Amino acid sequence: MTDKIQITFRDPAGQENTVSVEPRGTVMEAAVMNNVGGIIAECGGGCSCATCHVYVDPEWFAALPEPDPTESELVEFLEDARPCSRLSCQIQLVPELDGLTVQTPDQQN
Amino acid sequence: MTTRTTDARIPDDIAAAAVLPLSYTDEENITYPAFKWLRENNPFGSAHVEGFDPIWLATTHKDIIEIERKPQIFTSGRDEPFVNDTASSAFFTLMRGDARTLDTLAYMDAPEHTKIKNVTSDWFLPASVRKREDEIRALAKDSVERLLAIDGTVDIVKDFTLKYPLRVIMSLFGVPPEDEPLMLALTQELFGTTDPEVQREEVALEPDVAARMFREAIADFFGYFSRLSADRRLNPRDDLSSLIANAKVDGEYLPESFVNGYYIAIATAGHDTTSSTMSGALSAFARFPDQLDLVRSNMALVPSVVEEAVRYVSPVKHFRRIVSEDTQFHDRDLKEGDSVMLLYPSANRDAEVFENPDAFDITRRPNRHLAFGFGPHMCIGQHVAKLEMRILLEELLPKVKKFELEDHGKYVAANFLSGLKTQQMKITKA
Repeated sequence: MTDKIQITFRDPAGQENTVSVEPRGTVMEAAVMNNVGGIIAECGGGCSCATCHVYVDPEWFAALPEPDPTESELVEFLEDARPCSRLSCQIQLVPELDGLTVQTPDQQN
Repeated sequence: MTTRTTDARIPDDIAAAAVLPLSYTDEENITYPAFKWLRENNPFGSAHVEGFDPIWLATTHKDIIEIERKPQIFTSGRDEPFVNDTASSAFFTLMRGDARTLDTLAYMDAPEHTKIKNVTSDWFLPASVRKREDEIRALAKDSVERLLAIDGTVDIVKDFTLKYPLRVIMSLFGVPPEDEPLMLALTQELFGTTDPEVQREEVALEPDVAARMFREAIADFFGYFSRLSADRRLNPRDDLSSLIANAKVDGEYLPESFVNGYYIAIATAGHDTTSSTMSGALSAFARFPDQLDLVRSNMALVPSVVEEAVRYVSPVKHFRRIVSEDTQFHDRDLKEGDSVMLLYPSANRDAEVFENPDAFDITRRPNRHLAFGFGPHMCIGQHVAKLEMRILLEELLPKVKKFELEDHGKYVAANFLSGLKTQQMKITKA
């Protein structure tokens, strides 16, 4: 049994929702499994629809592995993209990400 | 929402153009003009074509996205997910009894769909498929070398684009090269079944011929792949068949029909579609030579060429959804059990989304085509497809100055997967 980690999702109004999950799967899956709003993931995690877009808090952004070029391309075309934008289906949960905080956008396109 | 005052029923000639397999042998003159008419005059209407059950045709980019966003209403698991003629539909119903024709993703809805998709979804992610770049590039180099060694006119389909994607997908599976001709024949039989030129010889031309051939081709596939997965359970390797054969869902191996369903879906979906897209792209370069010059002068555009080729060709002509409950869509009343044909090629020429949609323009950014679908059923193999097409173009285009068409080319007569089946070309090397 692995130690659980905490992931915090902040909605656009600033409301925080912290979930406790095993450090496997992705941030998107952690959100969907725990009924966190604001993350749709239309394609189910295929790095293709960009409806699991999140803003990663700056102190965590650099701690994540570089995005794949395919992900960067999708993010580039999001109207509300920011420098700290990522697709949450491409962020793998590992023990080092305990405490990760992300914000969901006003809407998923 | 705008209220439409049009009659739901689509004029017979337009309906036939969209539904009949033969229409897809001349897209430029038959299907695309019909789709344009539909988008402008009756974007969500009812097609009544002799020999087919009535079916709703979804033709705009926006509508197809809206439908794919509601998979609980527009379902995939209630019947065959493609449009067959009434006789073939009856044959499928008879053959499968209470079972499903194929235990594969295209026939499933959530939660089953999610569970089965998860078996391979990580394997198909961009970073994961990119690990195969070197082995795919070796196949691409070899294919290009063989093509350019041919003197005079080439058949770009038979001599080039048909073989490469098959070799890629079979190498990902771990199927040995000597079995590729068998796989090639079977895939063409599975999805070219409405085309008289590729129908199996032993099947007489009866109304239910398509369904019968489909079943026979599937049985041949099953025999081959059951042996393959038995081997991979004993001797697992670093290939896709080992992943599928050894996957456990809810603590159990997948039933044999699911394992085989996966193989069939990947082998067929990953093959003809990519071939059609590549041959379509090269013939587009013949028609739009400025686009070839453009990419040759800036190879960083290759990924955009791939996206535009997939949009322009749209090798998957439709999927079908079955309505699960009485519902309203636009101002149409849909009844439980109604069929909807999602016409992706039409969405990909929608002038609301694509400027000058009939032009092959490799500079479109963003290129929000729906050739891979949208929503939960979006093509799981799209990153493999894009990768292998990018690599092939990277190997080929620097070596070719000009493509010229030597004939009009011939297309597969099918309303599901269609594309060039032969195209004579002259290639001028750089």
